[in-house]
Order: sequence, then structure tokens, then C-alpha cells
Amino acid sequence: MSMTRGLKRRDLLRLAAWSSIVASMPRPFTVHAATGDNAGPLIVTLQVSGGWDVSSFCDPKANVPGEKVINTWANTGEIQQVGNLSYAPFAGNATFFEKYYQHMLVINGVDAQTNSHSAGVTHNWSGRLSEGYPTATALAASVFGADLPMGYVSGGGYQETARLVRYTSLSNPEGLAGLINGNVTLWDAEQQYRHQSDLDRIKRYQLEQLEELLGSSTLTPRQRHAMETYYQARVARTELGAFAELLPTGDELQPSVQVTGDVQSTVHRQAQVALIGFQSGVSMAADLFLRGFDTHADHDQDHEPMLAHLTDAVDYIWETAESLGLADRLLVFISSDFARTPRYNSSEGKDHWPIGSAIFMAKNAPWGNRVVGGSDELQNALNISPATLLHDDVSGRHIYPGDVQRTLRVLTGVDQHESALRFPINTGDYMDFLT
Amino acid sequence: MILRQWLLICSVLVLGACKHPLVIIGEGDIVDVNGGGFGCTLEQFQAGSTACSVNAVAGDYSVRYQAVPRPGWRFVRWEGVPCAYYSESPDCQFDWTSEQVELWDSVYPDFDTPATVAVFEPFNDALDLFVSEVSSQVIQTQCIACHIDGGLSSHTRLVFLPDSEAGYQEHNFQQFVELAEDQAATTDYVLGKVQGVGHGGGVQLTPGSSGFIAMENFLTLLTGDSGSGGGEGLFADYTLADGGETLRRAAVIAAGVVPAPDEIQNARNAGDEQLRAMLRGLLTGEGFHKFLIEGANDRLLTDKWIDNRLFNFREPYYPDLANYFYDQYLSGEVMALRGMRPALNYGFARSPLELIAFVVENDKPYTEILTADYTMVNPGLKLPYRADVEFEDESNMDQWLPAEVEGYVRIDTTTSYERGDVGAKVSGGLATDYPHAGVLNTPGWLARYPSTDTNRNRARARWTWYHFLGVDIERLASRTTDPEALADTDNPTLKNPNCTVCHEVLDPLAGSYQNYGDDGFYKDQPLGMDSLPRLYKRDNTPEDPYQFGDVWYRDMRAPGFGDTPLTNTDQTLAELAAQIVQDPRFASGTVKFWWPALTGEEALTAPENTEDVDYAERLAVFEAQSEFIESLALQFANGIGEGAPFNLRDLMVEIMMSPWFRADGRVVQSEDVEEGPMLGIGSGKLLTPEQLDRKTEAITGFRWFVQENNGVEVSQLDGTYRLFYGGIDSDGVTQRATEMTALMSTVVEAQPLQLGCVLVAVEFNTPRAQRRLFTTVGKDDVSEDLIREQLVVLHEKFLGEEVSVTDPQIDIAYALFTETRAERMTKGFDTRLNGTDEACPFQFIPVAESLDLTDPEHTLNTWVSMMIYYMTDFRYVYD
Repeated sequence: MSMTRGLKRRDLLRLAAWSSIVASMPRPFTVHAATGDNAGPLIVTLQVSGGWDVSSFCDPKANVPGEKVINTWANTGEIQQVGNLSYAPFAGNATFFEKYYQHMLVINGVDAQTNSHSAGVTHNWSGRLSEGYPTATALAASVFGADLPMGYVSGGGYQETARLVRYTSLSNPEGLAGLINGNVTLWDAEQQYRHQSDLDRIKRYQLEQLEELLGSSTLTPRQRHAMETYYQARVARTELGAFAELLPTGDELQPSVQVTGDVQSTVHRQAQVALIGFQSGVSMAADLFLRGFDTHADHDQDHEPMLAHLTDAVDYIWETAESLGLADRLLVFISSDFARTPRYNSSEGKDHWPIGSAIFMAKNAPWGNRVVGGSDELQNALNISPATLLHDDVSGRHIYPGDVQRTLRVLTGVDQHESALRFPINTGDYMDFLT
Repeated sequence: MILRQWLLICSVLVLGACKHPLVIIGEGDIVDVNGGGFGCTLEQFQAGSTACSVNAVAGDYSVRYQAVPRPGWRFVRWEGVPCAYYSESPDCQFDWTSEQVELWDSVYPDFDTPATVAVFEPFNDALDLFVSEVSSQVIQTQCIACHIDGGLSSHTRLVFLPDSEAGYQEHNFQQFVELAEDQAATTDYVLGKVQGVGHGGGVQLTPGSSGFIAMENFLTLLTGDSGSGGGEGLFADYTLADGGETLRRAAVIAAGVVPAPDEIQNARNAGDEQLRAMLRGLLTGEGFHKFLIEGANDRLLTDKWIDNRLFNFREPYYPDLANYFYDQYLSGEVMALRGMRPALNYGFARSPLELIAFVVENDKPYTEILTADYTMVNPGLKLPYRADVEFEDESNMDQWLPAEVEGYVRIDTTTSYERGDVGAKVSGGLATDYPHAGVLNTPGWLARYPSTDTNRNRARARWTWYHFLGVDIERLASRTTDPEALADTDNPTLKNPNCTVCHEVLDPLAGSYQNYGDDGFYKDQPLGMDSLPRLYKRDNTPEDPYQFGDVWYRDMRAPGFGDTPLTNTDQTLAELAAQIVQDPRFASGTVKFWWPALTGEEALTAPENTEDVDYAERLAVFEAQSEFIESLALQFANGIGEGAPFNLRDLMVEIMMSPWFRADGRVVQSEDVEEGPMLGIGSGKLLTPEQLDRKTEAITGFRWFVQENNGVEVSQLDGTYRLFYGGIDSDGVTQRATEMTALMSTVVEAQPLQLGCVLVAVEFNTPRAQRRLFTTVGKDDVSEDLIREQLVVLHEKFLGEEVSVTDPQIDIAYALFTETRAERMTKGFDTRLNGTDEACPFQFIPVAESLDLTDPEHTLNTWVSMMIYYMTDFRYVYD
């Protein structure tokens, strides 16, 4: 492409607004004092892909005489209770709920209003059915982590950022440290390719080129955006060293796990790398992704290990956060596309069902040990009064994913921020699940 | 009688050829439905094109014309030389053999040639247009499911009557009349709804489609308001890249090459037609082949199988394969089996992609990607397929030849099967004439979207609609759905309108995959008669839907495509493929399929929510892009310019000629305009790891440390660091990154850090006349003039811009050069490449051992720094 020259102050200010380049000009290039000075929230969301069976988890359902069997486990088992929470005696639920109920807010009877995967994913992770809204994690990262080199990391799933921020993939952390420390040779950690002063100089001169290029008044939106993001990446890249120092290698990395016949999970590894990103101060929001819940056939056989793996992963998140000293600042949010039918199909599977659940977790949260919303004995959503949060068929309404996302925005402190207000969620009267 | 009439029209052009003029009265096109290269557009007719006035015919003349009216017009009748009696209006068919044509040529060489005439006339009024073009084509097919008394949309202002009730057309027309009376900007309002804007029924029509155009024309005639036409003038304040820049950018993206300076200069001076020819000339060779494979895989994702075993080698359907593994394992030839696995994986993964590449590179009609009665075979697939092909090198798995599958066997009573630890001993069975249907029944494609007893091929159907027809089923009704409907247990996909809105489109096409089991094997059930699951068939009682001999579920819609049932129970997919390629959406779907490969962004979808802050801008861009895509699709189907129908290379050229690819600057920078919707348009595309790899090789002659992976050479960019740099693995990671992150930027740095020193060493140990990069300086040259000249060369090669030695950008680069060199001298850095404190990884790249690495003037090491400088420049990694 061709670029004309002529720097305008406006352009640099515009760039500086998100990358703090002004603070770094002409040197050094640091945009953020690294290693843990981000005092904002730390957010992990866990996208349970395919549609989880909440009737075997946090919205347990016994079988109803005269109706089709909802859950095989209910033929012999009974719904369990710990604190104010109920759970199904299935998979690893007992251990999980017993350990964490005081830190959990469970919202049941969430109406996804669709049986379509893509619509369900969009609705649950952005707050509305239409495409185009960012995830709450992207919003939070744009507010609190815009100048972090990996403010928002993602293990997959719904990753819409609405161009507020960029996400960094967690797909393959092996070899990451070597790449970040790119000036160290592949064969000898004591050797380098070039003198560091040489690389610093090159970067400084490239900033001058940036002035030249961004000074053009004739850039297309794509050119300008690409330049800005590229140089933001180049500048922020310096901070990755702290991350690389903490990154585990080889056997220290959490292994991928064969959960079922065709599900190989890396969710523990995603969590491990995300939390190290938090610890090193380069990240503050992470979407973890676990697929394998779309059990249209052999539901019990496949869903049981998947749920057990899910709760084990959440436990791993908390245990690791505790060991890294992050647990007190951590918010975990778990949800799925929708839920599964309260009955089995001819293949012993369960199909799509729009009425599901969502879970918030934070250590010793005032809203912990709480359940709001609900569904009836056949897993139909109840109408809930926005004022009292009680079942109310007269003035109540269903809880929608938008209500859950509004809560997530409140918990992450972005609900009144300009960025969030650009993407209003209109579900009706606010449902305050937190007080 | 018919033959006599036909023979009367022929006159000799050349031996064995005659002409059949086509005439258009009114406004419309004569389209060759089967894409055989005939047809006459209105513009061609008005311009006196020989496509209409001559319409040369040679050899067999088997063609089905279709009269397609332009907006506001309708087809009335055919006149002149009559169509075959079995033609169904608006079609007009001719079927004559070459012998019949030649006979007449030789007997009656001098007759004047009468024409076949398509007569179109304008509509009289809005009701006329509504009845003719909107009522049955749109209202009764798209809207009636919900906008009906008792339907989901019965609360809206548009509630229609079905065509089974008297007076339905007048009633339905009146609905629009009343809407127009109290709805401002009715045309925009309704057209927005059908595109999914604030519409509970999601997207029903896309701009440029025949239904959309009919609706637009009707509303315009009804209200006198043609709507805002948001797409007009979209590029009014944009400038386009000149021919040279367009050529270079296209070459890097689509061909993995960098044109020589004189080629770029020629392109800069070329007119549009010359530039088209130059762009088309790029679309060949190894780089283009890789571009095709990557572009196709980005959609189909069958590369998943390269690192994943496709199926168990004990399966009996390819007995030669099962037996080979069985025998080799028993005889202890384990190593041979280890070599066989990656060859098979590669074969199954790449076969559908190679078929697409084969069709495109041989200028076959693109329709053949679905209709091909052959598949593509590499040495790994030769054995299981019993393919009748010979390869030059049986060990090179990346060779591909077209062939038929002759080794597929179904299970019947003669099948003998003995399971082995590895493989199986298989004999007997039912030999099968594998019913090829292009990509659609390649094992890689079928297994990429496996089915289940309850999914019933719906995933395969969904992606068939999406990839080959450009229709996203899930967007047909992604909005709020009635909770009671979602809880319906009485076969809702067949009966409940909430569900049927998608399933009546999805399920018949799912049925067309009826012969393929969950894992993709043809008629895989015992006796080899069907692929229905045992669970469905197990209780064969009169009350159960299954009846002996069935090949598809009785409680689902019958196999079909749209309204057309597919009745060939052995070759249903081939029958489907023939239907798909005749559908106009195949052409527009093809444009959308290849759009991301060339532009780096998906084709846009309609914004759905009018309250979005950038709604108006997004709608305008979407409408403009949709109109472009539909227009291009029509040309693609009929032949672009004088080209053949469905020629993909012609299509790619037109995309690259368009402002969607070439937008390169703004006349004026607008401060107040929401720019988000334009972020994916024009230059500034982040190169994929594979594209950056090819660009580096094209410019420098080197790839970043090539290694062999399962017999295929990969560099660090398209191998080790592919995922770090935003690439995909076709399994868990299926979306390419389009924006740079800090982590990705480490890959950008790592390439020249590791490669730069090697490049400089090799270049300066090569005679200057043979060098690629350092063509103006010697090893110890330090004069400012020479350095500046060399920087100009590097600037042009790496960044694609021609600048002068006094350009400020060269000033900056020269300052960097001198400052770098000065520091080296001041601090006494090593005067060699690969010195004690700066390593040069020669061990990873095959270079001569006797390189002179001395650097007494610190120039070589300084040039290494300049390599890093240029190869980490924004303009190097974006294009």
C-alpha cells in the first residue's frame, strides 16, 4: 500500500488514547509497569460448549410420575442440598458443591429463547441474540486492561470483541516462552541473536516511521486500525517477558485430557496459562472453552465424565488462583449455550432445551450460597419478579441471558462505563441478583 | 418437425458450425442454465455482442435457456425458432447432435438465420407486479409460515392468507397498501425486515437475490419510494490502488510471488482489461495452488485429518487397506505401516481440497467441485481406492491425480471378516460403483461433519447450505422463539412452524445424504442396502415408521432440494449436486466462499438491530457488498466478459479489480463517520502465516528453517509458529486471527532475528549480479550514496513502495544504518557475522560451508539490523 506523510498531532493522541505510546516516547517503550500492578478485577469465564445438562447439575430434577424419565440417576438417587444450593448426585457434583457452595451464586431458569447453538452462544455470552455485542470479558479488558499486552485471552468459543480490544489465543502454550524471549538462541540460553540495544534502536526508528504513516490524512479505516493495532502490539510486546519467566514448560504444563471418545480437553492448560498471565500482570480477563456437552446420543455415558471434568477444572482454577495469591480478586463465571431436554431421545441422548443456568463464583462473596430464579419440575422457566426475585406469574417474567450479562457487567465494574453503554442490554427491569 | 425447424436456422460459419442468434425484446436476460457457455445478457444484446447476434454452435447443441426478466419486467413468451416441445416456460431447450448440425451445414450452407426471441414486458401496476413476482415467490414461500393467522407473527401488521384461500392475492396485496399508509419509509422498513433487521424471523432475503429485487420493485411501484439505497456512493471518497500496487498485492496474497519491477510498472500503465489479464496470469503455479488449498480448507476444515486418524483401519469397506495393514502387521513390517498412516491421513484430508484446486487450475466449470464423477487420489489413497493411476514418485504424498474409487465394498452375506490386532482380513462383499458427487461424498468431508442417530445428517446439510449456497440456516430464525414450541415433543421439526422455518429447508437436504452413515461410509449397514441406524430399524413392527427396504426416515421430510424431490436412492448426492449448481445461490455462495481468502474478512451479514450505534453505516456497507456479490455471481454463472461460465479464476480477478480489494486511501479523512463497518475493506490485510512465509521466500529466496512434517516441508511460520501467528488447526482453532496481538508480534520479530543474519551472509557471498537483495553495495561499501541506493532497493523489495534516495523514509533508514554501525564500531562489537556475542543459526539452513563471514567495517552486521527493520515493518506483515 502507499502511504503519504505528514504527522498530525490528532493521530498520535488518538493512538495514545489506547496504547499510552505518548508516555513511552521517545523511549522507553513500556506502556505499563508490569508484574501485577493491575489492581482491577481478574475474570475467568468458562464457556461450556454444546449445551450442558443443568438438570444433572445445579438445577436438579427428579423424575415425575407419569412423565418420561428426566434423569436416570433419579431412578435411584435423590436431589442433594448443601447450604442453599441443590445439586444432582451425579458426576463430581457432591465434592464440588460441598467445597464451593459458599462462593457460588446459581441462577436457574435462564431462558435462552432458542435451540440453535450459534444463537444460544451469542445470547449467553453477549447478552442479546443479535450478533455484534462483545463478551463481558472483552468489555472488562477494554476498560481495565487496554494497555496490557494480553489483556484478554481466549481458549476459544465466542470471542466477539466489537473491536474494543484484541484477544490472544491460548491454543498452544508450548514453546511460548522461547518465542517471547526471541532474542535468545534456540540452542543456547546464554546466547543471543543480536545485541538488545540494536533491537531497541530498531523499534525506536520504527516509531518514527509510525509517525510518518499515521500522519497521513488519507488512510482508510482498515489501514489506520491495522497500523494502530500493530504498533500497540509491538510496544506492549516488551511486557511479555514477565509472563515468559513464569510460564511452565514441558511436564509442568497441564496435560490435555481425553475426557470421552472424541473430546480432548485442554481446559486445565488454558486455565493454567491464563492465571499465570494474571499473575505476571499481562492479562486480566480470560475466556476458557470446554466442548463436548452436545450429547444427542448416550447422554449419561458422555455427560457424566464431561461434568466431572468441568467441576474438576473449576476446582483447579480456584486451587491454582489460591496458590498464586489471586483468589481474592478472582471472579469466575460459568454458562453454556442452553440446556438439554428433560427426557431422553431414542438414542439415549438428550437434545437441546432453552431453559438453562449460569453460575457466578467469587471467594467469600456476599452473594454466595444463593440461588435465584428457577424452573418447574419439568424444567420450564418460572416467571420471576424483578423486584423480589421470587416466583410471580402475575408481574414476573423469565430471566434471560441479558439479565445474567448485566450482572456480570456490574460485577466487573463496567456497567456504567462508556464502552458498556454503547452496547445496552434491554431485558426490562433490572434484576439485582447480588443484594 | 422440430429437427426440420432447427435445421432451417443453421448456416455455415466454419465447417461443422452454425449460428443461432438470440434476441431480447424488453428488458431481461437469456441465461444458459447449465452453464455451457451460451446465453445473452441484455447488455450484450444492446451492445451487439456476437454472443447474441451470432451465438456460434459447434458440435452437440444441448442447451437449456432461461428467460430471466429484469426488475420491473416480466417474461411473456418465446418467439422465433421454437423451443423443444418439452421445454417448460420460461425455459427453452434445444438438444441436437453434432451429426444433425453438420448434416444441415453441408446441405444448406447459405440460409439466413432466424433467431429465438425472448419477449419481456413491463408490469402495469403494483398489484400486477405483486401477483406475478412477489406473491408465490416470496409471500407464500418465505413469509406465510409466521405471518398468518395463528402464526408467530399474527400480531404484526402483515398477516397473510395462504394460497389455498380465495382472494388471497388481493388480501395480501392490501396488507402492504395499509402498511404503506401508516408506516414511514415503507420500502426501507420492509426491506430491512426481510434482511433480518428487527425481524423475529431473521434473514429471509438478501440484497440482490431475485426475491429481494422483486420485493424492492414492488414496494417502489406501490409507494413511489425506492428506498435509501444505502450502498450507493460507498467508495466515493476512497482512492483505489493503482495497477502496480494491485498487481503486487494480488501476487503476494493469491500467488505467493512478488512481481518484478518492470511488471509492476507495466501494470501501473495498464488499462483495466490489461490489468485483468495480468492478474489472471498470476493465478497459476505452486503458490496459487497453496492459496487454493488454504482458502478451501479455511472453509471446509478437512485438514483436521492431517494430524488425526480418519477411521479405524479395521473397517471392512476398503478391504485392500484393511488387508494390507493386517498382512504387514503379521509379517512384522510395522515401519511400513507407520509410513502409510500419514500418507492416508494426508490423502483423506486433502482430497476434497485438491479436487477444488484441480477444477480451478484446469479452468473447469466450478460446478464440477460438486458434480465431478471422480475424486483426487494421492499415493496413500491409491491402495484403498484401487485407483487406476500411476505416480512418478510413490513416496511423495503430495501428488494428485483424478481417479475413481474402485475399491469400495459393502457388507453382504458373502463378506468374510476376521479382526486383527491391526487391520482385518476381509474378503467377499458387494462391489460398489462408488457414486461420486465431487466434494460431497469424499470421506474427508463426510467425516468432518459426522452424523448421529438423531442428528440425521443435519450437520452435513447445514454446512452444505453454508459453504455451497451461502445460506446460514441458523440465521433463518435465530431470534426469540416461542417457549412452548421449543418444548413441543410431537415431531416439531416436521410440524411446528417455529421449527419448520429451518427444518423444512434443512431436512430434505439432510435426506440427500441418506446413503452415508455416521462415519461417512456408503450404505454401511449389513446387506449394503442403506445407512439407517440399527436403533431406528430394530423394532420392525407395523407401528414403527421403518419398513423393510427403506433408505431414509419416514418421520422426516423426504430427500430433496427446495421443492425438488430427489428420487435416485443410489446416487442421491449426485442428484443433489446437479440441483445445487443450477441454483443461483451456488454462484453467490461461491463468491462468499472465496471472499475471505482474498480480502481477509468474511462477507458481511446484515446488521440485525436498529438500535446499534453504527447500524446505518453497517447496513449501507452490507447492502453495497451484497449487491456487488449478487451482481458478480450472475456474471460468474454466465461467464465473466467473454470467459466461460463458472470460471473461478475469472471470478477472483473481478474481486481483485473491485474497490473491496483495491481501496487504498481516502480523499478526505472524515472525523464524524463511524468507520467500523469499513475496517475489513481494501489494503491493510494481515497476511496469514502461510502468506507471510511465501512472501519471505519470494523476496529473499529463503523460508524460515524448513522441516519435514509427515513428508511435507513446512517452515517455522506454517509449522511450529502457525497457531501462535493466528493460523488454524482446522479442529479446535478454526478462525484465523485478523488483528495483531503482542504475542503474535513476537513471531514477526523472531523470523528476521533468526533468518536475517543468514540472508546477509549468503547474499554477500554471492556475486552481485546474482543477488536478490543487495544489488547496489559491496561488502565494505559505506558511502552514503551507495547505502541510500541500497536502502531504496530494500524499501521497494520488502515494502513494495518506490521511493527516491532523498525520501524522508530513506532518511530515517539511513540514520538507523549509520547509528547502528557507529555503535558497533564505538563499542567494539565482533567484526564477524556469527561472532561471539551475536549468533547466526547456520545449522538450520543449508548454505555453503565456506562463507566469508568477516565484517571489518561492521557493514554486514548493520545490514542484518536493516533486515530486521524491514521485515518487522508494518507494510511487510500486512498487504
